Amino acid sequence: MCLLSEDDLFGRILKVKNLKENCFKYLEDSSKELLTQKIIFAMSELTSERMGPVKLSEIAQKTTGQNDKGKQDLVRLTIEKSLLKCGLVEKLRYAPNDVRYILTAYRFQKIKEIDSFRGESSEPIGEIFELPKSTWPIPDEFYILLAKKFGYEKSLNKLHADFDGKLIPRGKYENLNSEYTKSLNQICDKLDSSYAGLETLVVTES
Amino acid sequence: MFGLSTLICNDSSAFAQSGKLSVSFEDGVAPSYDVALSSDGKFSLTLDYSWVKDETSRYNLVSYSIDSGESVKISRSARGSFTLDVPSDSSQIVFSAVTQHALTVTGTNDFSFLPSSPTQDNWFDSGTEVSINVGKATEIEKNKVRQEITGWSLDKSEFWNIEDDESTFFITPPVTMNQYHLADFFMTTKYKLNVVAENGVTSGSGWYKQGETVPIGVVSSNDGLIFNTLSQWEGAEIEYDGNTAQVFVDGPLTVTAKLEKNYSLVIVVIIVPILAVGIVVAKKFKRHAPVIVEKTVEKTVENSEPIYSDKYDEDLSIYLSEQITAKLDGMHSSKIISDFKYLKIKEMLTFQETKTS
Repeated sequence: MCLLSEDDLFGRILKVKNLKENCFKYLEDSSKELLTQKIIFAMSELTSERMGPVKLSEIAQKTTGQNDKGKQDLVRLTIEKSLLKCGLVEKLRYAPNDVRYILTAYRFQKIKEIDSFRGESSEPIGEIFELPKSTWPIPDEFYILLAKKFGYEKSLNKLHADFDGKLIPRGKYENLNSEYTKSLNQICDKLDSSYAGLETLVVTES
Repeated sequence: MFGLSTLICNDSSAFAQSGKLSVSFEDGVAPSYDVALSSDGKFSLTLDYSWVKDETSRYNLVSYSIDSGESVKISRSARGSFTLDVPSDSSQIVFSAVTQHALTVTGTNDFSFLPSSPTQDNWFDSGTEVSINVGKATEIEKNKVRQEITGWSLDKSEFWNIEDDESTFFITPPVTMNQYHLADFFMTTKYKLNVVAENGVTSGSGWYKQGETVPIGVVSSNDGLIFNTLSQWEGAEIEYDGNTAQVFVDGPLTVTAKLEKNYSLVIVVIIVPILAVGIVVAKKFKRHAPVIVEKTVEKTVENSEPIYSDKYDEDLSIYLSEQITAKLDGMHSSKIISDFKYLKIKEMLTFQETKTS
């Protein structure tokens, strides 16, 4: 059963979620030892592996090393008291006995709310915080396409250089150039159509 | 509890009890009973169309036969009473009824049953199959806010997602009515995003969930050599870096692309011919020198024929594989790919290569 579409997962990666200081603190280094932060990172990692929302027992196992009822209750309470209230986590009920959790975003902006005579507004503080890219829910196909795109670009450069250096005859050069360029274009088309916006985010900003 | 009520009416105030009418039900769906009749009176027999079988099912009248005669169908109804004028010479009447179960739908009001209920409500004859036809979107505020169904469950035990496609209706697979069923539909609120521009074709308009970040764009039309170029977006909080624009949906929105005239093409059209003339003139002066170089090359070619590798295709293919692997390794070491995914992808690529070779 497909629990969430890839589009939904991408939406969560592309979105930058504004968080007030009292919620943003869960992502900061000062909360490194807190269960709340461990849950966020565990959920991110598990979601990336499963490519969908994760169960409480899995989060409990990952964060505490156990998944008995006591640990699950502890994790559930932590999620409900802090992460759900802050809008960091979404709770999805698929059936009465099948509840799963997923992060609402993977990039966060700390904001300060300003209440002035002009009305309420908010002001960003500092840079955008990103959860580790290796834990973003991106399908394997995307990485393969990126690697192949790089490979074909490099190979075409070599092909041109070798032709200039007279290492291959014109006929063979034209054939290989056409074949490799076609493959590269197909890869680029697929990246643009299925993963628009993601390449820039994953590669350029890394 | 048996809730069937029957009523015998006689319009003769002083009739003499001279006959007996036996009333019974096929398959014992209700107790049989006898009624005393007068030979010179007119009699009416009245029965409820439906009566309770148990907590989740009921019986519904479908036909009757008098004195083992031909079965006569009854126009079916869920509620109310059925009245039959009984001929005075009748001695036996047998009614038939079927078991019905209810199908309750929650979460939406925009639905219908396929086929519809024989009793024009949400009760269906036992053993029949019924699908539910649900409108996928319900407008709350015209062209601004609507609710869309995202999934449904049957008897709160199984859950299915409903694909977000262009269709306006969703039809469930057939549900067999052998017991009471509850179909629950889940809705999500969506807001309309309108992307508009005075000149040009926009992209990004549509219905989106709250919190979505939507890429928007405009392809402007031109007035001859004068371009209309995008200067800014107005109407909402838009992230625009000069090339791509994204709008954060937090309610119904209309964003407008503000375009301005760009005369760069006019300038280019004037400058390019001048440059072209300049290049041609410059080439005329330079043409002699390369001729000497070409002659030198010709001499070299005469001396030694280039040696080409027969395995160049193979070598290039190996180089391609090496570069793909190098990129993957790079993404892994820069922590873009997790160990888990890296190993999985490596395995996949190795398998593909083995298959190809």
